[in-house]
Amino acid sequence: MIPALRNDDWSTILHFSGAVFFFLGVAVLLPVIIALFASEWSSAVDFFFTATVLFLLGGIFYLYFRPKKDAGWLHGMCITAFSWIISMLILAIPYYLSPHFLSYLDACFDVMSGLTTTGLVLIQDIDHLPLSMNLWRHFLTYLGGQGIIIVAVAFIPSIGVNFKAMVGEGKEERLSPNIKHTGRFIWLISFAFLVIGTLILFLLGLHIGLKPGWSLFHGLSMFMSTWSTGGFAPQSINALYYHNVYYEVALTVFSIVGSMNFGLHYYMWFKNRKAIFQDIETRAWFVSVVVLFMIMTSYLIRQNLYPSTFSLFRKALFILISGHTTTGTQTIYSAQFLNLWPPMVLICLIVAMSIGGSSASTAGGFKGIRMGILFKSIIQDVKQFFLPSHGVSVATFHHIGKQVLNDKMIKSTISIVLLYILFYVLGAILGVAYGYPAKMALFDSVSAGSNTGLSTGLVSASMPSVMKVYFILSMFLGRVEFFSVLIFITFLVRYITQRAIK
Amino acid sequence: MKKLFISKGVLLFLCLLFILNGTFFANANPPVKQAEKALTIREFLEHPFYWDQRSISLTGEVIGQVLFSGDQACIHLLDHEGNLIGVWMDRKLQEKISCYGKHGIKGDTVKVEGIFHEICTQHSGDTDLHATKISIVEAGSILPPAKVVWTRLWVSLLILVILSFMYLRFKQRKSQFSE
Repeated sequence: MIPALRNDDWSTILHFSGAVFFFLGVAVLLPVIIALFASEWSSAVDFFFTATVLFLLGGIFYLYFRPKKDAGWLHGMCITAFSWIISMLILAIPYYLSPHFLSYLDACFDVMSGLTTTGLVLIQDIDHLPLSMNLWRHFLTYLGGQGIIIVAVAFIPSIGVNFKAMVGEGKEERLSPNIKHTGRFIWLISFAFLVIGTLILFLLGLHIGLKPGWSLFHGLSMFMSTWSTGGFAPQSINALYYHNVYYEVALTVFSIVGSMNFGLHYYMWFKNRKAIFQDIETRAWFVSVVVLFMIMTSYLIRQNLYPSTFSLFRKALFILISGHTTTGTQTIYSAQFLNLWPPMVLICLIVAMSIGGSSASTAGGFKGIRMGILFKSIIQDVKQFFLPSHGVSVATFHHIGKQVLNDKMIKSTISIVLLYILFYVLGAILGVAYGYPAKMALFDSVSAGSNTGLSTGLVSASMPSVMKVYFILSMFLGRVEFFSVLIFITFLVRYITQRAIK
Repeated sequence: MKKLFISKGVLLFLCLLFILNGTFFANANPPVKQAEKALTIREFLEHPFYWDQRSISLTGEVIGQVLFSGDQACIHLLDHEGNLIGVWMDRKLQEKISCYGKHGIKGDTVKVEGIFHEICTQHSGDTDLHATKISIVEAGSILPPAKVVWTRLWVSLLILVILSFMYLRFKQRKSQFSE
């Protein structure tokens, strides 16, 4: 029997969601300040308007809906689903009011793409974008990467939610007994890397000829984008704009570090630096990268596309890591995926994007840990076959400490992986139904569902509205790993039907 | 009961067929067909093996900032379809360009003549143009700033006033309740 949400539960959900909206309102003041400094008056007014709408909604929810009980894990799931959807609708306002979006739906698409760290865009004329809006796009990705609930929990003293709320945002590792400490540690890591990463990219920017101000802007934007495995860039040709190997290496390193489990970061900082070599997730990810890279390069060599091994490695490795960490930064044009690279390379990238990065990180996909668990369970089943009938094979693995593989783990892994695959395939079928080539439809559907952002060119403002809505849903569900949304919908339906019966 | 089950099955099958056929959704908003065949960056990318290493001329707006590598400079050209490409040239050629496009500024519109490289051997596999000649078609200009809609500001201020009242009333009620 599914429990129904009572009015008490709604008060709790709305109260904590109000805190999230209020915090986002404060965050939106950042582009207001930048716009004022850059004399972008229209943007300043639009962002200020959005901030006040968030304050109003946050204020009403926070002040007038008092929590009757502590927020439990079910509330956490519902808070995640509810606050992400409403945040998308409100944060789309400044985008829609600017001349860079053709419709409100396009604006919602880009907000969801930013919040979920996907990186697919429908924005028009990026190269003439106001500084405030351009920086805000990247900052939104940075916020979304760490999780907006986590931000609110970490920095608003009066709110405390159950740890399971973080599972709703895909951050299931408990780093310390206190949820606030966990949230703050995630932000501490992110901020430390932000300073270091921006400095490195700033220096590299100066090296390639950018003026100091622009170099800082590009460095900050690109760091926030790659660390959050987002994939946005300040210019329309993404990372190809820099034409520099060192810049690309730095972006690759940041995206790998950003796609690592925050729990593993914590473990390496405070306990065991060698944990990275033992962890099933990093091992599975590394093996997958090596195998896919070998297949990719063998096909690219056969095509004889690249003049030197260096250029082949540069392009193939950058795109593969970008796909496998679900970052989505590109150093080739979207059209070149279809017109230049052989289909087998696309298949490798689809596999890489499907798997994605680590759990409890900023990355998407069904995650390295699940791939590792699936392989372990297959090996365990094969071993079991050779054992005597009364023998039992026990499989263990390292993931933030030693763990024993059990049936519950395998079952939940299979459920989530199947849900991801279902969403990838449904998106592809929808694309084909609209007349797009199958490989194009599958590639972009996987890219959206795994929050990657690489595109063959299907995702554009001219895409049918139904597909835009589907991709918004796919990005959102992929980011929160399905269950928080499914639970919220179940509760909502049950609440409505019960009210109707009464 | 059985009849109902069969009719539901048939209905579901027909719906699936309809969707897969593409006719149902295709009428609503079909994908944009590429009809235009002018020389654009998209044309180069769609027919890479034809245009690779060929002399071409491309007109577009200069965007962003100039990058340097040794005695070469790289600018970025935005064509009328909104695609951007890197253009490498000697520093002397680059000096002809005085205005680079960004927010509020339309960069110089230039006509570039040179060689298109789908995979450039000189620049480690990047897709770019190597300019041999550039000419300014139209000088850059300042774009009119976006119009400020003041109503939005007044509404925002009104919301802030309402919020302040809400907060004060909440505080008042809270203190009354605690007394």
